Amino acid sequence: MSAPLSKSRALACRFFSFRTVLKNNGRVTVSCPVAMKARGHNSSQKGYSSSTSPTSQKAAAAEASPLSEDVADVDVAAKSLQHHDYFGVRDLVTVRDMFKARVHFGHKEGLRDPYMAPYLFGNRLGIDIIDLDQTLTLFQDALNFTAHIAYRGGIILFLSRHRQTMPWVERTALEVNEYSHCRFWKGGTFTNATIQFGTVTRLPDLCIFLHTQNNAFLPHAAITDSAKLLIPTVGIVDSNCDPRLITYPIPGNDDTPVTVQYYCNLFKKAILAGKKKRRLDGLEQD
Amino acid sequence: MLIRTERVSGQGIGELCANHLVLGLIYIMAGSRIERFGTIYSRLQGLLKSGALSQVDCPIWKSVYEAFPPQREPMYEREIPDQKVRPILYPEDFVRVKYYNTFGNTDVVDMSNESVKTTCQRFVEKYFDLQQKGVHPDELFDKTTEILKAENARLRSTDEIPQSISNMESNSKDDGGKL
Repeated sequence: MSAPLSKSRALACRFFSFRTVLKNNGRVTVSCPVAMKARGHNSSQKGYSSSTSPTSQKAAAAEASPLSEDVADVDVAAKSLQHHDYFGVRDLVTVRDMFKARVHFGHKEGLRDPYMAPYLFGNRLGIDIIDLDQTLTLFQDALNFTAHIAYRGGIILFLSRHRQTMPWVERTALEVNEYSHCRFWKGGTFTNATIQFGTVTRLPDLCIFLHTQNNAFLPHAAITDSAKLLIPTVGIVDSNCDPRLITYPIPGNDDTPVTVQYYCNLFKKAILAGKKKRRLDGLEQD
Repeated sequence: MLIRTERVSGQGIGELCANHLVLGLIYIMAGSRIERFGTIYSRLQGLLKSGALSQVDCPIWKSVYEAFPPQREPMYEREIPDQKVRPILYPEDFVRVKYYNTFGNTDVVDMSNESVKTTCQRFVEKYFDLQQKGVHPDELFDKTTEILKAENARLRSTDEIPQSISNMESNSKDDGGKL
């Protein structure tokens, strides 16, 4: 089974590059292991149970050990995680802009997915209205995550099965130098990649769904596939969509062309911001 | 050991795979394909704990996820939430109901232009204006109609329309006779 190539692995390969050594002023970059230890994620140090997820940890307001000085120097990417909004993407979303882009329009009451009920503001004469205050924070989180993945050189795949807006999704991927797959999703694309493509494959590090459903109003097969292969997903979930398997769901209208353009624009800005910082911080090795 | 990465922009997934050749380092990540159990993060932690995955081989999203976890864990198994979605109604809606039942919608509305008010909206604003000034509730609707008619709003109630048509016919009877 093929899997995303970790950044640490990639960096390990670059130890032998003379250019890298020069760039880092002679210091060798090491990521994950040391950084994780210093952060106290090692269960033996802090006594955290390994089943505690970051979500519940943050909710319990557990104190995290501060990153020690020398470790911070060692892992350049770790510094970006300490800032709440390292790329300035949280300011890109406003409730007013979302309202103008008609993000709050859901489908009719009968089409509602039961798991979307918490994200709804109410029902206006039969039409579900999505709560933009919730969407705001969720969208900001999603954009921030996207920017961080782009910052770390991750592969991003845009997915959509909406025929009307598909060209814009493909164009957005083109403009950010990432990938898109807006055609029929063949069963083993992720799960049987090595055989289907006939070669060792590097799978995406993030999947962005502009439309979570396929043309049969069923969840896109790539959602379960991404979950199976431990690939995080960001997805726009309308009031008739199932948000459960999506890592960073964004409740919002996915049918209006104006709205899809708005989302494409925001994702483009977030990814470009991440990539720009990547170049500025010197993480771009080639 | 080099990784030849040729980022071909905007290409489909076929090109994605063909252009990423790992020379020398073929690396298969262990995994748990049960998407309905736990979350991707909990399963990743499980792999780490069991030793199937080493710290070095963790995917790049792990540290980002830990620093910025989602507001809600992406678990498939969750309780069906409370389906109480409140209906969105405003006090103006009752006025609007009566307005549309009496007059119908004769406006040609440009929905993209927010600066122009529809007749109904003007009616509603005037209605509440009068209500604040202390006009008796029974008279409110009729008074508002009068005022707006004075302001040249086209407000003919559905009862008045047949009457006005018959008026027009009686006025033009001579012309009809000529034909």
